[in-house]
Amino acid sequence: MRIWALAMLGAALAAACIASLAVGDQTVALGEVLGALAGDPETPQVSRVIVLDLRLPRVVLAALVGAALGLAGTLTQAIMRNPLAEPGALGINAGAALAAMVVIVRADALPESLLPVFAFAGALAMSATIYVLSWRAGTTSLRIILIGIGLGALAGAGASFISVFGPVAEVQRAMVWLAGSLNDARWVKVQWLVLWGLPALALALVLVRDLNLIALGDTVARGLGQRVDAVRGLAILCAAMLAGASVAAAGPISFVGLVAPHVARRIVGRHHAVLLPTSALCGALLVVLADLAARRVMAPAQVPVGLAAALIGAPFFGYILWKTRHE
Amino acid sequence: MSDAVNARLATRSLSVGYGSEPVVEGLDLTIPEGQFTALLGPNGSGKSTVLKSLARLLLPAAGEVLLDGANLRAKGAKAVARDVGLLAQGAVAPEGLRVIELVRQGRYPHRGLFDNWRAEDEEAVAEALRLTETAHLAERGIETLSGGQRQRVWTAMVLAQTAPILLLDEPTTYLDLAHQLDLLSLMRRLVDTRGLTVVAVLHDLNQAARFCDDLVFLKSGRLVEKGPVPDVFRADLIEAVFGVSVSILSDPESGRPMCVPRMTR
Repeated sequence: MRIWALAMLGAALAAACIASLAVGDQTVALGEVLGALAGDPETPQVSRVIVLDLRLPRVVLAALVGAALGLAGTLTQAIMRNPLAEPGALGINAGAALAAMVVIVRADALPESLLPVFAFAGALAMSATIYVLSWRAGTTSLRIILIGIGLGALAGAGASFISVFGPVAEVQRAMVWLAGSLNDARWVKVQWLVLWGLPALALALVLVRDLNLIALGDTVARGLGQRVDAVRGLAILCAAMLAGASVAAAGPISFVGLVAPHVARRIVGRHHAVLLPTSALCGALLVVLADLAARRVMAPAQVPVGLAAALIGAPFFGYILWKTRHE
Repeated sequence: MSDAVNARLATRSLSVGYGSEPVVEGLDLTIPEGQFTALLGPNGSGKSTVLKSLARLLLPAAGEVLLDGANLRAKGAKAVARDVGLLAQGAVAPEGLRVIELVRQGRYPHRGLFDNWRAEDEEAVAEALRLTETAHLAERGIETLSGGQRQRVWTAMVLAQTAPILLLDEPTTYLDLAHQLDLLSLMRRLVDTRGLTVVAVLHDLNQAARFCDDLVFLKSGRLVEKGPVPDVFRADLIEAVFGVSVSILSDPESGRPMCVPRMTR
């Protein structure tokens, strides 16, 4: 049953990716998309360039960003024992956004190639600050959430300050970035995302059992011999790396980190060994579909992918909740 | 009673609290091995705090908790959990969690990071379900269970931990009478037939007198008296600890002592 659900999600993701490779200003026939992917020399040169060089980096980046956000959301919700917790709500995205804002607006002083590095560092610094400030002979999830919300508001205020007093042209560019965008998808971004995301993924998989246990509450977990504060710290680090890497690659895309774990839980339950991959697939599917919609709905103009993700995700989330309301 | 010799778990000048104010001060306590001990005292007397210290959930501000003569603080959390199990008060399972998934968590301290699920884990879980008569609930979601069933399931989780020392924090609170008796009988049985050591925070003095071997009376974070039920279940002591004047009778069912409050008006 769980295996089937995973297989179905995987198939849906593959279909969405192929559709996203085929559809665009220039539609490529399905056979040619598959031919280009398989490296078939019969495929026309134009189709190969469109599919492999123009669209594939974007689709891969969309899928990876979505997967990272899904994983980060699952980790955050598990350790916070709060269904509304996600890296965005904890202010981790705000930390990344503030750092990125500084880079974009101070473009004269800082090269733009530093933007992903700064965004990633901003997310990590934010989560470290949250953890340290909430430490009082141990941490509690409530204290972390409250301090996260507080620091997030502070970082948001900082970003607003910059956007009000910064040079208009740069602020305009920053606003586009803040809406979440995959327009500038390149293979180098994919590489960075994988580089930062893989260690976090490995760590998350090692933590699977601890995530299952910490969900029972601090007292129970400690009673069973878990080092709760260490697990919480590692999981926050993991979530910050994943969220930070995805923000660095595509700007803050809200809602995916919240909705993907919920949908995944409804499908496969609460066991993190299955829940983590399922959330990653759900997040990837959501962002790939959102990006496809973002590119086509108002073509040739492009809607920010973050906006599209929220527009697709919110009603679907509502539908899932409504459908399972009696369970 | 030579329980000082025959004890695995003990405290020495234990002071512990939340923040700067100590809740428990200078407590010397040995937990008699293979006995059922009740921690008794009015609200705020530090019973739960003592229990949490014994389980290494709270670290002492001063003094120490000893397990087999070694300081609990120096032992790893998992190592302690293999010897000492805690049935926490008011634990809430996440929505959608199934009974079997919860009970399996009891095996956590026995498993290394990459250990597979072993036959002994399966056995411990099956045994815990059998002892608590919850095997038929295994596939149910915990939120679909009644309060009494839930407490049995949490108990099963702690039993799956297979620790020889069990600490129960107000295990009978919120249970109806039948479930209270079930739980206490089960603990009595585990002590008698398997030699477990059980320590429970209880509020019902008569249940404590009936099911337990030893009583520990606490007041304002200090030890007032401890010992076997017949020695310490006294009217003067109960009045000193709870501020209630009582008469001691003999329980016609069990022959154990019981108390009834005196008419004061």
